[in-house]
Amino acid sequence: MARRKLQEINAGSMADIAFLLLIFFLVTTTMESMYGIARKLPPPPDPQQEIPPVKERNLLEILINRNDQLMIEDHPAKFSDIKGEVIKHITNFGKDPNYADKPKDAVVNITHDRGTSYKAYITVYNEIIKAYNEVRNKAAIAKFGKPFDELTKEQQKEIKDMYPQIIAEATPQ
Amino acid sequence: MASKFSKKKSEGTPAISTASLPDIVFMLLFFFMVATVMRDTELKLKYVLPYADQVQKLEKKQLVSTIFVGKPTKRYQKIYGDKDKIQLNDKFADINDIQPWILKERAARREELRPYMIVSIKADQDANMGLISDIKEKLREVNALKINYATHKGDVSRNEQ
Repeated sequence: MARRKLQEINAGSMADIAFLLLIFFLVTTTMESMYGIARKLPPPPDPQQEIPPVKERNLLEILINRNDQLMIEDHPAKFSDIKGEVIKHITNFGKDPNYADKPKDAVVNITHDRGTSYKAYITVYNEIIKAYNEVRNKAAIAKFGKPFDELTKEQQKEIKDMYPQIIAEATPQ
Repeated sequence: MASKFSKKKSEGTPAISTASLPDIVFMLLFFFMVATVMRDTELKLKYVLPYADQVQKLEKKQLVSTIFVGKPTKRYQKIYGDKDKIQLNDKFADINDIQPWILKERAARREELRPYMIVSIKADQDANMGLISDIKEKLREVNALKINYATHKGDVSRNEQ
C-alpha cells in the first residue's frame, strides 16, 4: 500500500475561533474599580455609656446643607477650604483659642442633611482625610526622615497615635 | 556561477504569513479571560461613582459584600419608581432587608474570615445622604463596622459641584 502523505490540518480557521472567544470576553469584561474610602463605623451605641463631653474649641464643625453648601464653624466656606482648616485645627497645639488644644483631642464633626448629595459628602470626607494624611506625612518626615507610607507598622502606629483621626458624624434629623 | 545569482522570476508580492495570527489572538484572549470578572449579579440600577483621591485599593474580594444604591434603570422604573433604591445581590431591597442580608452574607463566609468582612457601598454620586446614613445606621446595629465607600480614583474637583 502506498504510504499516504500525512494530511496537514488547516489551521486557518483557528484565528476565527480565537477571535470569536476574544470578542466574547471583551464584551463581558468589566474592569471593576475596586477603589474606595475605607472607614470604620463606631460600634452600636451603648445606652449605659455616657458620651464624654467635648470642649467647644476642640470641635471643628463642618456643616453641609441640602443644597451642598458648606459651613465651617458657622462661616460659609468652599470645599477647597476644608483641608487648610482641618490642618490648622489639628496642628494648633493650643495657640489659637478657636482651634484644638492638642492633636489628640481634636475632633472633626460632619453634620449633613438628609438631602445632601453623596458626592458632596465624599468630597468633604476626602478633604478631611487628605488633611490628616498631610499632617501625618509631615510628622513622619520630621521624626523618621521618611514619608508615612514607607514607615514600618510600629512607626506608623506611633504617628497615628500622635495625630489620631477622630471624625464624628451627626445623625441627620 | 552566474546562474547561481540569477534572480528568480518575480511572482508578484508574496503573501503575508498569517500563521502567527492565532498566537497573537490567543494571547489577547488569555489576557481577557484572566482579567474578566463574571458579574454574578445583574444590575437593576444605575450608579455613577463620585471621585476621590485618598483611596485605598480593595483587595480581598471574597471578603467584600456590596450594597448598590442608585436609581432603577429604565426597565424597572415603571415598577419601582425613579427614586433612589437599594440593591442587594440581584434584588431590590428595602432598608429593613439589610440586616438579615448581612447575617446571611456573614454566615456564608468561613468563620475565621468573618471579622474581616467589608461592606462596600457603591452609591450614585447624586444619591441622598439620608438613605446612606440609614444604611450605615443599620450596619452599625448588626456590627458590620468595616465599610468602604466605592469611588473612582481621581481629583475631587471632578465631582462638579
